[in-house]
Amino acid sequence: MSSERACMLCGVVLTTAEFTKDGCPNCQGIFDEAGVSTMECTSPSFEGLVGMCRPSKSWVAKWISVDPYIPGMYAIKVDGRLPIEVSDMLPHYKPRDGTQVD
Amino acid sequence: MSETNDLRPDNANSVENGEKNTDEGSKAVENESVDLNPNEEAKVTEDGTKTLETGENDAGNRVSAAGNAGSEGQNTTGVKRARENSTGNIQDNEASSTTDGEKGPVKTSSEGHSEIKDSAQTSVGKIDQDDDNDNDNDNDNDNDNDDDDDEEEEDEDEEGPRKKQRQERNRFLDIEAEVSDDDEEEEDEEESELVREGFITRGDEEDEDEAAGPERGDRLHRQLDQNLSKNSEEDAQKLAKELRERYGRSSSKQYRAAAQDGYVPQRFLLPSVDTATIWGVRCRPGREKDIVRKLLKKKFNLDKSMGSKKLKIMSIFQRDNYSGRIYIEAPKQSVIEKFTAGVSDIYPSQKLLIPVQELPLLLKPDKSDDVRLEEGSYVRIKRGIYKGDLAVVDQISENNLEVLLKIVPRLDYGKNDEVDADTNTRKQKRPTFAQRPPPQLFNPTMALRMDQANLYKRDERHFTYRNDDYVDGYLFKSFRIQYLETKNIQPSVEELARFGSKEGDLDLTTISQTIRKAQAAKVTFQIGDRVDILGGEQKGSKGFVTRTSTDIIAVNLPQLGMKALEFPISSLRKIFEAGDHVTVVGGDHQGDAGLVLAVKNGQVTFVSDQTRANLTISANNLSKSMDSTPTSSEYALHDIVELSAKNVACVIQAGHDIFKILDDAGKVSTITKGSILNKINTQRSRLTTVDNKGSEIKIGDTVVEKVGARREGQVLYIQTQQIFIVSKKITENAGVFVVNPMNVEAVASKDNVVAGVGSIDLSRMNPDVVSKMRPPQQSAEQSRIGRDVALGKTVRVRSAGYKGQLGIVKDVSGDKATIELHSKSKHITVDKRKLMFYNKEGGEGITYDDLVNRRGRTPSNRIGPSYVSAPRTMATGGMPIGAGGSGPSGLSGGMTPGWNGVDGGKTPAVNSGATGGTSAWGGASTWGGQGGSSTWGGQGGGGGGASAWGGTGATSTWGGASAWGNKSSWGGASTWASGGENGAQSTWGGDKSAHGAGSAWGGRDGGTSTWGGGTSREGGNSTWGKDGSGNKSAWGDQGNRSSYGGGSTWGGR
Repeated sequence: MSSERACMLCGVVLTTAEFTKDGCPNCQGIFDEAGVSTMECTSPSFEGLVGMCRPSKSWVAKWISVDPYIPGMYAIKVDGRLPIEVSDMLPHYKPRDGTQVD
Repeated sequence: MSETNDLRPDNANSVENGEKNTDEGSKAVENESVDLNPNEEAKVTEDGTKTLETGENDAGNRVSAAGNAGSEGQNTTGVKRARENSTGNIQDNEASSTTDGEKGPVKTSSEGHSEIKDSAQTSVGKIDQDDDNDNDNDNDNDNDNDDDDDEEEEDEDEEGPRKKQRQERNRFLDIEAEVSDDDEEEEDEEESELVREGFITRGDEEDEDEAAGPERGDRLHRQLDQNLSKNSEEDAQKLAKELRERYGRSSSKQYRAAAQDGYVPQRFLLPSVDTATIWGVRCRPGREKDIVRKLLKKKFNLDKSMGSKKLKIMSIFQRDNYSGRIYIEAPKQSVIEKFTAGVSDIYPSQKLLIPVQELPLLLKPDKSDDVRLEEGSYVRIKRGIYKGDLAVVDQISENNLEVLLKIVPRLDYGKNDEVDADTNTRKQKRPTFAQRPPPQLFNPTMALRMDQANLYKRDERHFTYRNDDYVDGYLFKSFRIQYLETKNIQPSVEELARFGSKEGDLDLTTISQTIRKAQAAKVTFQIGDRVDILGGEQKGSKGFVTRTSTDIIAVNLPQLGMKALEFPISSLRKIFEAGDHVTVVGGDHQGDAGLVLAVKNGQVTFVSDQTRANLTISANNLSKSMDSTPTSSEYALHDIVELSAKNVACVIQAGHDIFKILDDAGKVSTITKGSILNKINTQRSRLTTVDNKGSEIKIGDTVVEKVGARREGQVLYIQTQQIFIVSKKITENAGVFVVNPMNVEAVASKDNVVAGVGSIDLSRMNPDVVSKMRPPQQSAEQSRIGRDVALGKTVRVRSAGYKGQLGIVKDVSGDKATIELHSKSKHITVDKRKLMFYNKEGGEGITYDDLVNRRGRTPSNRIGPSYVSAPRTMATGGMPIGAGGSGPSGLSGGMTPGWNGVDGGKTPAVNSGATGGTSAWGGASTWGGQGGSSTWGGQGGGGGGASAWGGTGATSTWGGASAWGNKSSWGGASTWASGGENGAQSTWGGDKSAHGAGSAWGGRDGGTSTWGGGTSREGGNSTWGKDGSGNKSAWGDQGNRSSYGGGSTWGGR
């Protein structure tokens, strides 16, 4: 499954093909607005696979802040940094690469 | 929408009711149906309502029946069945069937139909809830709560349609339509939440007037209606907006707004037992990710297929740090088993609830052992032909995903390319890991010569060859970080040298620093070591190590008088002084030890204990030691080792792996550790041989050579024809030499020396000391000299095991006696103090100590003491007991003691032994005296009671009930004042007695009698004789010189 990537913004894990085809199901609007490609905002390096079945009910979803997103596969840690265009737009963006400690 | 709103509160109420009145699950259903009615009436036709009512009642009854009938284990299925039934019923009604016997068109209008559908759904939801409540009542261990119930409800209400919508949405990215969809759904959800809150706040009131019944329901309902109508209008708008923003996959504005409004710091999300129930489930290690994927798929499929009833699985996840385990977020344990059934590689029986406080750690994004890459750090490449190679991070890409690495290239410059002979075109062959070229810096000349076509020169130092960039000979290539190993990189010196070989000082210093660090890590400082500070502010100071860690050492500097300062290991040096004994702890000479001769610039010169050579080693590789033998090695100096079955040798120099040995032929050789078979334990060896005079030589004996250099030494080992000897006076071969035993003479045996020193008691040899000593007490030790008194005695065992059994002492060694039992033919060994010693004929038993005191005599079996002095009755003129041979007349005083005994003539065992008895004969006794009573005896053990001896009319008791020796005769044939009046001439003592035979005792005229020749300690004149004319007799008048009794000068010939 080396072709899988994780979105650096929401953490969703999809195959590269899915990302290229449809973009990120959660954050594509933001990427489009920022004018960056989906590939720039996704990372092939991630860890901690979460199969999220009920994002609205799950405490895990709240904790890793994927509760507003669709059910699916998410990563707990996503290496990489969002392009500056995107992160500038989102002042409360919390990187998923473990650099920020709450 | 409003209809649903109307209906919801009832559900909520019923839930509440169901929970409150736990015993009345079915009742709750009934209540509900009652509650429902008013609403339904307004909108549904009469018939429809009726049908619904009956349907619901029916369902309610069935449910309660199922709840009651179902045993605990089957509850869920029972409930499910009931639910299905109820659903079926209602739907039947909906489809205008007449299952319940009720007639009438249900579908009077489309409105009615929808109403019915709605109510049917709600009723299903309701019944479900009640089922759940029933369940809960039945098995209380379920950790269900309102949440669960509500979720369940929502499951039924929403999941089905929502799923569909979601999928649609995924497929068509129609933003507008989607938002509205979301809106609706979420509104539903939110409203239900609102409702929940509403009824929760009202729950208290409900408690108060629980008995109100339908009236209460009405009231609640109205209130809720009010609340909701109030809320629903404005809140729905607000919520819709909010949710649109929250589900903002649409724009960053929404994301931003949501993030600002709804930003919740993680500490407020900290889990509680209610919010987060996460189970760790064992699975096959390495398959965690696949299992997570599989389970997620399964969950989605199940959701689709199961329709209304869904398993409550919130999430499934995995962490790389915790292999062999996946985590499932699910409120109920039983769900997991159901869910994971049939999935391979997962072991749901091995699961445990993760403690709430560990959850944040479990979901922490950053692994603690992660290394943050920075420029200049070392990494290793994980794949490709550079797999395993060291690389230096040159740059890190902006998104942190790729790094530009500086690598020593492995190039073959097209040597292995396949060249097509015909067309003269070459086909590049990609090098594989198996046949990769050795790492070498890029050589432009080679490239130019071999493969010119692919080479481009950018500038003097920068080339592009085969699409890769080479600067200064190094390959600069971009790698993804997932293909790099970043943890625990320990570059070897060669690898570092490759990076530093061409560049100047900068890299060399880093290398040296790296190496130094690596070396420093090996240096061990111990608390108490004296150290020199080599750098920093305290340079030149000296101090003591007070605390150590891997690379920081706390040093106390006495001259500064401060508390301990911390220094890196690299800036410290151990201090040694001439005369210290040191052991080498690192480097080539590790294991060597010796005495420090000189210290200069941190270099310590010491003389090795083994080689006697001077070695110079840097101070930090040394540590102070006490013993000279290296402890690191298995074999030490002077060990006897086996080289083969026949060959033995003595280690004369022990290193870490190399040993110098002297074999039995006297040849010195150097061998490795591997050629030594094993070490011979000379302590256990019992080998002996004889010297030229035929005396025995054992290991450890001191021998001297009879020929040649007359070397003297101790025997280390004895081989058949040769003996190994070590001498402290010889330095050659560590003092070891080999000689033939015929050429040596034993000087001293190890045993003799030891025994001689131990046994001499100088104080006993000093007559002055001895004379001042009390009469030698018979100690247990002395008694052991010679034949033990216990031997041959009849004994009875006092200790456990053979307690009470009789036997005969056959052997005595030390404190142990070997006893042959009378009862069975067996020898046992018992502590001799745990025995009672008996006369052969039986009688009274005595302990070993008593036996020793009695000089090995056991008491006879006669009744009463063997020596009985005149009993008191005698004093009144009675006949003395006993037939001593003379019947005392006792006319006028002078009663003599009854000298009795069956054998007659028994005398006390005064001085019967050579050393005198332990009986205290005498002591502070006054002997005789006119009319006085003298105490004969005193405190002595055997001496018996106080006896009054002589005196007019006095009763004298001699002895008493004492065991006063048995066999010795004290003047056996003596007549003791047998003559009565004038006192007969008596002979005290006799032939058999050792007690001065010829003493005249008394006499006709009462002459002076001399009792023994010795002097009495007590001295004093005693009148010994008859009444009136009693003469004075000198009983030891010189006084103070002799001990009375004991082994003293009592009598004697």
